Amino acid sequence: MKKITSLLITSVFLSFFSTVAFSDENVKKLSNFQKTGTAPGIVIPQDTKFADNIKKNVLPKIKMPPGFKISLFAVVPDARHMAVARNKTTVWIGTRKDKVWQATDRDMDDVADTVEQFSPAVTFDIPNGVCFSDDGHLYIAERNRVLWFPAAEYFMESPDTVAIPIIDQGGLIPPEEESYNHTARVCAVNKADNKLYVSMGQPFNVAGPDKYPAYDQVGIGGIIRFNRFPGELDREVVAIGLRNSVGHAFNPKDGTLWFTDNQVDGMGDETPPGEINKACKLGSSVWYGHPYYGGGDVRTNEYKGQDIPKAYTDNYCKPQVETIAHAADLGMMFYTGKQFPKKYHNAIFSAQHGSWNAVKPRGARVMVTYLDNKGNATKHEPFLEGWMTEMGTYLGRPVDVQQYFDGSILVSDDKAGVIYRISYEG
Amino acid sequence: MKKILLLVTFMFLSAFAANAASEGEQKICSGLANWTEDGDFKQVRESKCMTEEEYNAYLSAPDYLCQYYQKSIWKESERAYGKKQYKYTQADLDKIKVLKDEGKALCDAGNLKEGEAKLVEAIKIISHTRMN
Repeated sequence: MKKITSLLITSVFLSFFSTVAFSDENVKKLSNFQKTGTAPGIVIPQDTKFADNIKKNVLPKIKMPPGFKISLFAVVPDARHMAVARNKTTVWIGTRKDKVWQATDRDMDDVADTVEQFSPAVTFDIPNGVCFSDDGHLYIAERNRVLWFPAAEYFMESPDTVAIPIIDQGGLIPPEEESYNHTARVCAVNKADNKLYVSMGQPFNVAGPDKYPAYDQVGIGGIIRFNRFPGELDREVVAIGLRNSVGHAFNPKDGTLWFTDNQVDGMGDETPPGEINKACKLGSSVWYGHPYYGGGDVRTNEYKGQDIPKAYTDNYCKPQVETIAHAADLGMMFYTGKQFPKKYHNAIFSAQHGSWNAVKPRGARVMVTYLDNKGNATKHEPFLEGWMTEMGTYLGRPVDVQQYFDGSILVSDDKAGVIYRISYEG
Repeated sequence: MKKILLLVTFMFLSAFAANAASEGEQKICSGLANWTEDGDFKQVRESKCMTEEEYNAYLSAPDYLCQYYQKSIWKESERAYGKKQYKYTQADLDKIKVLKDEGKALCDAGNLKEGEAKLVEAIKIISHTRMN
């Protein structure tokens, strides 16, 4: 029995490491424009009873302002953050598992005809963060690596999609700081400096004092930026004092960086608030409160009564919006389309994934935040609701909101494993 | 005319009362249901419900934090799912348990502030333990 157990352990160990080695070998080949011989990836059937049931049982329950319509865009297992292509009706969708999906509306009827595994030659590790640049490059931010897929729109039909590491495996954070929780990265390209911005949650409920200043220096519990093409990385920390940010976007009007931040657990059902922040400026000293504040101006129990270092208080940037406690504010975007009524132009749409840590369930909705003409948040209100049943169960849990090419918006849902499309028909 | 006015007033008051009653009975429920591969929405854990009034009473109870912290500690360090989420050592778990028991005893004896303080000490250990 002992022999069998040790054999099993050895084979699991070997198969894990051979998969990793194989994957690294494949990335090497792909980055040299070589074939890997990988078979085509998984295809997700779209015309199913599951899709019919989502249409029948979920869509009619979603409440939205008059004139808006919700439809099913695609069935995508574990759908998390999304990136919309530039020249094709393709959407790449990250997951917290090991796959990235591509959903393509091939006949232009606003419904994805094919949902396939993207780049099956690469073994991904929590590839949550996907982002697409205006000049046609796809980036995927994993737990501890960032990959560049040049011309993904054109190579996407093959299992061998050119993939080049911008940050090698183990280079995003020290491997000993890796965790599963608080590891869903998001990314975005800043048009002003043409760099890639990646958020990095810190792997604690509240990080201990022994973790600072090391975390601030690496950007754990912060946001970093770096060059998005091979060569000098020029990595910099642009925000510190975040707990677990899983959504960011640049305001196209003034270029400011905005981000959501999930706040501390274990303090109460209705405290502390979640946050939507606007970067006061980009810099390694600009501090957003963690670990001294648990959300908004609520001090954490772990640091209550302790003096906050002057380097932090002098550079404290307070949130623009305090959201309800434990709603899990995740993906966000600025609306730049023309399809929606004018009141939504340049507003922020953000997803509330929903609570796990409160007696009273909340969230599972899409919020809209309006800005004034100085670019500051004014009103914050629900835009889409209804994923929670009156019995307190979640039909779906929105993760990300992204604008589709026609000015409609897409909402991903990792509970139902689908993407919804919201259009305005007047 | 008088009868019609009376009837309209009666109908209005009845509708108002019914609405107020249904609002008063609005429940706060929490349960778990998941989608199956076939697209059936299957209840995994039965929903538990309380009224808004009961929820507010729960939040404003003098021992709210005592109860909340104990439940939080259980969820994060005793419940199998919660325990799996952290890189605990056995020594951490033992310390958490001792502090929880001491906190509970103080809370049960009516020493709420002292009890809360003990429970917060346990939560600090959880908070500063790295997640898996």
